[in-house]
Amino acid sequence: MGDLVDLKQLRVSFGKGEGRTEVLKGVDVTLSRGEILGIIGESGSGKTMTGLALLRLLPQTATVTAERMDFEGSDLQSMPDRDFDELRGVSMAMVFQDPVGSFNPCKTIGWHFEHALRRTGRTEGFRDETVRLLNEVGVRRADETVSLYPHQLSGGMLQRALIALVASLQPRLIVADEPTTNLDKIIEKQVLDLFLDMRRKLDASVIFVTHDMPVAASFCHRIAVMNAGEMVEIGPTEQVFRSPRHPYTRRLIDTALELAGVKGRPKASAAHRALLEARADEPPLYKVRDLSITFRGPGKRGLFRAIDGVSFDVMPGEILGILGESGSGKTTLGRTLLRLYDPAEGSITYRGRDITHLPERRLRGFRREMQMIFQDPGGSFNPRKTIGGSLREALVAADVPASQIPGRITALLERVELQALHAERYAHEMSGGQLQRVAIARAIALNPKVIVADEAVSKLDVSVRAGVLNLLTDIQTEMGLSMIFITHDLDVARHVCDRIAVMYHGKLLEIGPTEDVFTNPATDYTRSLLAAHHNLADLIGA
Amino acid sequence: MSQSDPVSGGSRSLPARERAGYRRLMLLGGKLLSALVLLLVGSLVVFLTIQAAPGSAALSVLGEQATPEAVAAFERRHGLDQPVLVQYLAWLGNALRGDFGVSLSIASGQQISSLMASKLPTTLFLGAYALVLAIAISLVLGIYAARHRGKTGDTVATSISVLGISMPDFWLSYVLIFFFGLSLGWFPTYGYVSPFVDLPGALHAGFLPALAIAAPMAAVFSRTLRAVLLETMTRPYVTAARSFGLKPRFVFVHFIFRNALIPYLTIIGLQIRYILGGVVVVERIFGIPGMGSFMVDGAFLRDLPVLLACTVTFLAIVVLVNTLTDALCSFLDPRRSR
Repeated sequence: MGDLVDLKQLRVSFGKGEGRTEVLKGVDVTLSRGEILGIIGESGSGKTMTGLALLRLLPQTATVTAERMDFEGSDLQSMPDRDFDELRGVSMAMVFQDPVGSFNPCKTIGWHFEHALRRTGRTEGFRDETVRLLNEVGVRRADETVSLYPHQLSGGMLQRALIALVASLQPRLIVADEPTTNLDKIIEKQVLDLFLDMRRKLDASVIFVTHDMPVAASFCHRIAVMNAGEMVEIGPTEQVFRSPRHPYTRRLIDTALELAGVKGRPKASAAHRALLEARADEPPLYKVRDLSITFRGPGKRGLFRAIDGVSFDVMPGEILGILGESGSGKTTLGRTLLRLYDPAEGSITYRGRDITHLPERRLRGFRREMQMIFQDPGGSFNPRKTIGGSLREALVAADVPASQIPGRITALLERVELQALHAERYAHEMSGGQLQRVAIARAIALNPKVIVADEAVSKLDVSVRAGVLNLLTDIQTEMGLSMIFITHDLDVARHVCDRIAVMYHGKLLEIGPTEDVFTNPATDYTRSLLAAHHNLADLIGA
Repeated sequence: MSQSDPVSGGSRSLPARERAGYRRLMLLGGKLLSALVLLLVGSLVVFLTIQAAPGSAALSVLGEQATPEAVAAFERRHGLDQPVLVQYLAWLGNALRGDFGVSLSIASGQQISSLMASKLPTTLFLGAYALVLAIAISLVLGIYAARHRGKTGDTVATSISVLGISMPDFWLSYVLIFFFGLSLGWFPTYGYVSPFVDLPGALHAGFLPALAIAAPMAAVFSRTLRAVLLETMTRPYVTAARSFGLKPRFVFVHFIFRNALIPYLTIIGLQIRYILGGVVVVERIFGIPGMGSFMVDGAFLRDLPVLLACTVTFLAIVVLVNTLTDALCSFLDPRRSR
């Protein structure tokens, strides 16, 4: 084993002296020809660093040491920079997370291919070869694509082009750093297939860095698990997922399985069922009819319909999931329910009152009853205010008497499982999970009737995701709120929602009870979405 | 993405290649048109400002003791008794034909356009010389500092820039005259050689004034260039380019410098006005008979037509150069022009 890559005790640190921080603390990786090794772990675990260190692409401020660092039997550590430049690309190449950022914005797709192809010794016929390579990865109208600039292509197309570009170099090792994280599910599956294709054609090995465990389980031969700069476990995929040896691995898999719906759902809790039954006879909280939202298209003439004739109800006490991919209009829909956008057509009725065109000043009373939790926990707090200060703002807005505010802040923080001392902290001193808890505290400070959670857990690591999700659903049941849960994540949607609405290109394709939508989808789109989904539980037979 | 086929990666309408050229032409046309409007509005503002300034042209020409009849006759002769807007339109009409009227007090009765004919090339030469020097210095300092970030070379280059920014041009002029002119005797300290007569001589004679104008700008340019280069170096496409195994020099030229060029040029376009500000001061110090000296004389002697002609010419140069750099940036950045 390990005839291609042999890394022993790889250490990477930044800074010098006192301020030195070690981000990789002795990592061992071996890789054989044609093998796919998955490196999984949470953000900051050092999985990307491992790939960058192997290709000597770390910034100059990094110090890299290793006991052994061999590639195809030759020592990488003693290799001069000039020789390493020769090795990079044609022997080992990397596919990055952000396909849009990986291309020079001033140059055409064809230009990139020409210079990559020159690396392989080709001196002519660049255009034909580029078209051939692009066709192979399923880029349609490849002939025209060659002369386009990166900004003229979609993210999915660019990721295909990037993979074709790397394939043109015919490397024997490909390090893929979260190559599908920014892509929609359906495109993710196609891109993963491209990697398998490339591996087969080039007989290449792949180091696949990801935080998505279902993808890793379905795609990799062996799995390495990283945590805080250390490789805690490495072994065949089946063994790592079925009988993990390290407690950290076990915890990661358990949370992923919980999200995948194996260990019961909180929505099935007795309290939540009782809530739904008790309020079943009440009229809908929201009635949305034939709603359309239009925006002026960027640089285009005419209007772009972000929401196109959507009708649904939101019942009191229910969690309604809005499921869709990027650009489907799900965020716009959520914001329109708070009347942050003005509908072009249709109507929104909230508790029996038409708020479709209610003027801004009369909306204020309603907005208190509707709260929003955003995707980016860091961006939704004032960086100059303490957490306590942000909560105080919300409480003042809720007309809480000044004397009660300190007590309420503590109570709120404790309700979201934080402590009173967190009130003194600033947003940048808190982790993403903690901040999202504070965002929940801020939302419930106003005693709302409905919470719109827009991808509220998407940016959180798996291990904290379940905790925040459970907190959110607990509070929802306890306060008897309605919740609109916007997400692109099938597991999360299935985990928490009572009903699911599927959005595609601004249209509401179907709406129904969660299990109905998942087991008996009504449209082709939902079916293809489900088909592209990797279910961890099924994959490892748990 | 196509509406009908959710599973495909998506087809999209592709812009036709032949239309790109047409669109670029339209873009340039639009920019020129807006520059023209800006120039018209600007000239009106300049005209009104100069009109509103205290003092009277008649008195400064005829002397404080002039009789009211003489003043009235002078004002009638030069159309100064008309309403301001009428005066402006009359002036504009003439100016569009290249006629800026006659000088009142500097060279009484002479056509301003014929006076400017000899002064404008002098100033344009000095300005262009200063610009080329500033760009050359900033390219060397900026690229050097960015490539040696955090090392001694960076500190030295950055310190030179700070020095350049903090020195006023008139003071720097005297330092340069004292040091290179008087002590070392390498360059002349006064006067002017026409580049059309003797180019090497003109470059030699113009070096100190051009350097005095260029120094503060070179400092701003090089600091800008260093900053945008460093920023561009952290872009993911630079790491990606290295991962393809492209040569470091190639990556620097085509990925880093090429992308840093756009913000760098934008800053240069915005800083052009300081060249003209520097020209006014430096021409005076070095005794160069250009637009700057002409304008200062016009202001001191209240020769309003001269002052007006000079200011509007400077305005035209600034607007033109800004339009050109803007067009160049659009041309260099495919995201803006295609």
